[in-house]
Amino acid sequence: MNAVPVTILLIEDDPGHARLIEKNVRRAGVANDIHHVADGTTALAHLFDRGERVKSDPILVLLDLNLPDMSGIDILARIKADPALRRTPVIVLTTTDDKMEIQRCYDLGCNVYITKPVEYEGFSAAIRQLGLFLTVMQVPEPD
Amino acid sequence: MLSIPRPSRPAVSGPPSTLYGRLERLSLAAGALIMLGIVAASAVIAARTDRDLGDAAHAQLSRATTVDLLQSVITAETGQRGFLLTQRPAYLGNYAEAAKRVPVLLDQIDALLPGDPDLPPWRTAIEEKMAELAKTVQLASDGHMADAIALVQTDRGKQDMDTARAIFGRLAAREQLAITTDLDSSRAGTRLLVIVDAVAFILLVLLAMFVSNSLRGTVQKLRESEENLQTANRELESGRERLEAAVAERTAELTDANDEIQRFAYIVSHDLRAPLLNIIGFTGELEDATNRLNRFVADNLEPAGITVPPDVRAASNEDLPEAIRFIQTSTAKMDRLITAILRLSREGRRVLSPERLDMEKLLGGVIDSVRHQAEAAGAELSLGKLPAIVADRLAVEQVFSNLVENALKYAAAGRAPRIVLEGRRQGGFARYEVRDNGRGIAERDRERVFELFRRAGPQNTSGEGIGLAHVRALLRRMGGSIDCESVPDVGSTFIVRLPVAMVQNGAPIG
Repeated sequence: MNAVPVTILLIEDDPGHARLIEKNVRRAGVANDIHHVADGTTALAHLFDRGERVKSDPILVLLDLNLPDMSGIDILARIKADPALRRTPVIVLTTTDDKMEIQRCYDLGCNVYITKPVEYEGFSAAIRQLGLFLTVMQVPEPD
Repeated sequence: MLSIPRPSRPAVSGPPSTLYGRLERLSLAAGALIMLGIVAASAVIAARTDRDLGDAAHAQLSRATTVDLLQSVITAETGQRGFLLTQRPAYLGNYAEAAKRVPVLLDQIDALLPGDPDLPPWRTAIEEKMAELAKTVQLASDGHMADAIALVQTDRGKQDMDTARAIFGRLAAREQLAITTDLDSSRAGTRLLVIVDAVAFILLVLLAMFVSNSLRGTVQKLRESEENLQTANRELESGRERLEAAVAERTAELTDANDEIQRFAYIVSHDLRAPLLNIIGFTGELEDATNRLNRFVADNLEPAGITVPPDVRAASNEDLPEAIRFIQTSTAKMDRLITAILRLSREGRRVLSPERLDMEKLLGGVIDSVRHQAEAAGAELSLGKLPAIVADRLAVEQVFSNLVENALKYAAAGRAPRIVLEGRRQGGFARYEVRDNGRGIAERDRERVFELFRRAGPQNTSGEGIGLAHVRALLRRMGGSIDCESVPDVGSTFIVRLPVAMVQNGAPIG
């Protein structure tokens, strides 16, 4: 339905969380491709090892901070430090509600920080909001 | 187990020191006695020598006088003979002079040797001789030479002279003996004095040696005592240092253990949360699926006349929703507990920064923050005098917010809450009270209320049993404490003690 569809890169090590996020994103009416990676190394490879293609393909990152091989904050820092990727929206999803960590994510340039709510209703609502956000951000297309 | 070694010997031994004291006193007394003896002996001997010398001098004088007397008599006789032979008056001069001396000398001898038995016959002999001499001289001077010669020739004068000579010999010998005896005696006295002095000197030297010996012993003992004392002090000092090192080491271990527990709590609660999120999420999915299933049955199967067996209906309508409800209640509770542990561990890792706190202002702020709840409950809150302290602002705020919220929350049924905050200095501590007229805490629960996940009384309000545990942990970290006094159905008083000036010790403790 879009000329240049946005691909969602879901970086999440817990398969259950990944599945729940995906289900709720779909339920919120978002039909974009979701590419799921379970660790930081694969995520970085996907983001940086594809050369020119990454610059032309609009992408949105759903990032979990607790990864087995590295901190999600490192990935966030790498994205925001890269000239080609720094405009990429990053939505941090994590179980932590540590104010310091949240502040740090915003300082690094994360666009939205969502604490994974454990009540099913709250979680769904958050994902639906995320879906709306995704819809909105599909409108302004990069050249 | 660490122990401070005791000194091998007592620092100063009691009994020997008094023994040495007694010996020293005895030595001094002996020295004094010897000196006194010397003085007394010298006095006695000197007196005796003096007397002996006096006696010798007396004897010498007596002897000289007797010699003088005899000499005078002989001179008088010589003068008389010369005159009788030559009739020259020159001889008379010698005679007269001698004759004049004789009675004087006789009186002197009497005075010198009173009561001597030889004196009266001597005097008699000499006086008779002198009388004979006087008579012959008188006769010769008057020209009666023949009469004078005749008188001489009677030999009366010669006999008297012989008697006088014999007595003189005896007297002279006796005087000589007396002189010799007295002088010998005096010399003996002097010798005795020398011997006494020598003995006294030897005794004093011996005494001095003994005293110096015993003093050296005492000094040695004192030196040993001092060395023992120094050794004991050094041992004590090193013991204290070891103790301090051990305390520091133990403190470091405890701090490490505490950090470990904090990290453990953080990691465990974090890692527990991830699977819990799946359980909650997929339970939601289950619930959603069940609802869809039930809707499908209700909307499609039943209108189509398809009968669903009762046990299948019960499974989808009752069993599944019931199971899901229980799972959700439990997971919700588990999530709250995990959140609480996370918060506690995060608080435990927060570095406290002490600053000066105007407690009246700070607690005024705390009361303002519960203004809405207080108004809703018709509560009356009041602030008394509150001493300022140096502590972590956030921690103190959390402590008193918790206590005030509890006081509002656990009000007695049918009674508007009245809450009083006041405090005073108590030595190096500030003591604050949060007093309410609430439902109170039973005796058996007074300690339990400070434990994690424990709550007291009717469970008619929401809560996880975290607040007071958190309060106590915060106060402990700031070097303070909390106690509770309460009368059920009358009210509770929470007593907070905080150091007036909190010490920042880097690593969080408690």
